Amino acid sequence: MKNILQIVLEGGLKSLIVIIGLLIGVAFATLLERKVMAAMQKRRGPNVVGIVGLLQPLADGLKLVLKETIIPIVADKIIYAIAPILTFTISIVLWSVMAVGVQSVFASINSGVLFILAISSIGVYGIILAGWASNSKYAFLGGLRSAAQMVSYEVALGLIILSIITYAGTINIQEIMENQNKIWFIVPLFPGFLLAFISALAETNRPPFDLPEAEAELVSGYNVEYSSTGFALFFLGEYANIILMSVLLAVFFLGGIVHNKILGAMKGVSMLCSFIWVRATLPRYRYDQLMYLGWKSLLPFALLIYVGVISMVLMIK
Amino acid sequence: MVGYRQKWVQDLPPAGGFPKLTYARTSVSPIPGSYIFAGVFSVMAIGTYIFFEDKVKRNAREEEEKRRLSMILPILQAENDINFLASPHQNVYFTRWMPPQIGKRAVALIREI
Repeated sequence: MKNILQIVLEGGLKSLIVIIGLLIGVAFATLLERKVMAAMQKRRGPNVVGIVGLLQPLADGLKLVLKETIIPIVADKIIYAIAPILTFTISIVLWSVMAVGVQSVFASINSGVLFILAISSIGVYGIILAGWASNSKYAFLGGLRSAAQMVSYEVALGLIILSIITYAGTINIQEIMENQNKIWFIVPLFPGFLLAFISALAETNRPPFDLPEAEAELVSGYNVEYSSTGFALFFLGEYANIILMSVLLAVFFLGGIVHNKILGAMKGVSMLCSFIWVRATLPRYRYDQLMYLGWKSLLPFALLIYVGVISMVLMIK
Repeated sequence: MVGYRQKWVQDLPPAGGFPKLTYARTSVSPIPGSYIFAGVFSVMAIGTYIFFEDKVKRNAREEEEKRRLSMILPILQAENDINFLASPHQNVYFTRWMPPQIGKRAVALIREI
């Protein structure tokens, strides 16, 4: 029988491992992005700090933390401070159900997929709160824009995930991976993979749907009034979400760690690299085009796939 | 400027003019789109067949495992109860609480075996 101290210590240690691993992952994901994009554009990328620029993320983080935190006088100070913390916390909590090994998962709950869907929906609140608490028209409009974007694409992504659940017959992430032992879901559900990839891009505010990054045209977005640590937390949360989405796509469509852990990690990194590839290739969407794509193309198509999957499963039964 | 002469050459288009730009849309792939679609759909169909064939087998295996488990579950339960009662401060003289029946734990045990 474990006593309470043991449980608390074990939980704390486990969460510390997850958080530190995630932070290191985020730091090197930014470096990977800059290096890969530089290679695609025939540049060298960061190569000054440390050996071949390996310490660049550390320097960037230090710079952000050492900067002055500016809180606008008219801002709602408490909510203004809470919003980035909320965004960052939610992006970490999402990682608790991700398996890093067959038996090594922080919380192997039976409804892991539902947990991810539910918690990732709460992530919108951080953005809305940041936009509202800044008490600035630009931040407010940016917050509304981002929230609308995330909600729209979540529907399509949810439907695709529902198709996978129906296909596998389980909502446990580990069991979904075990179902792909013979064949990865990307083969029978290829259109679903494309849809999920596009939705994941929009869900994480990545190019070509990166409206909050548009400083020149749209005066940035919900994070326009943030600087220093607040901005760093938004940044960390965003990249943690990107890595999570890459890993989720690898788990749902490429079998995750079903065969081999190292192969599983490589699948996740390859998805991350395709996120970067899209960024280096495509120009930014206009806001109305983004909405049309979400509601008029992706959603009906996702519904069609879902109906197809259900009828196929019923037919086999 | 004595002694300095430079022969100026005007930058002109080559004789006969520049070659025409090919701005008409050209197909990236030599394979027609309909062929690609047909290929993708046939691969999807084969993948679906393989998946469901495997799923039927897996379901049968799980059913068999469930039946096997139901036969030895009482023995496992008894073993669990003995272990519980043998541990200090956990027997019926100290507490009336008994651990719940093993269901999932038995499954895990069998999988380990």
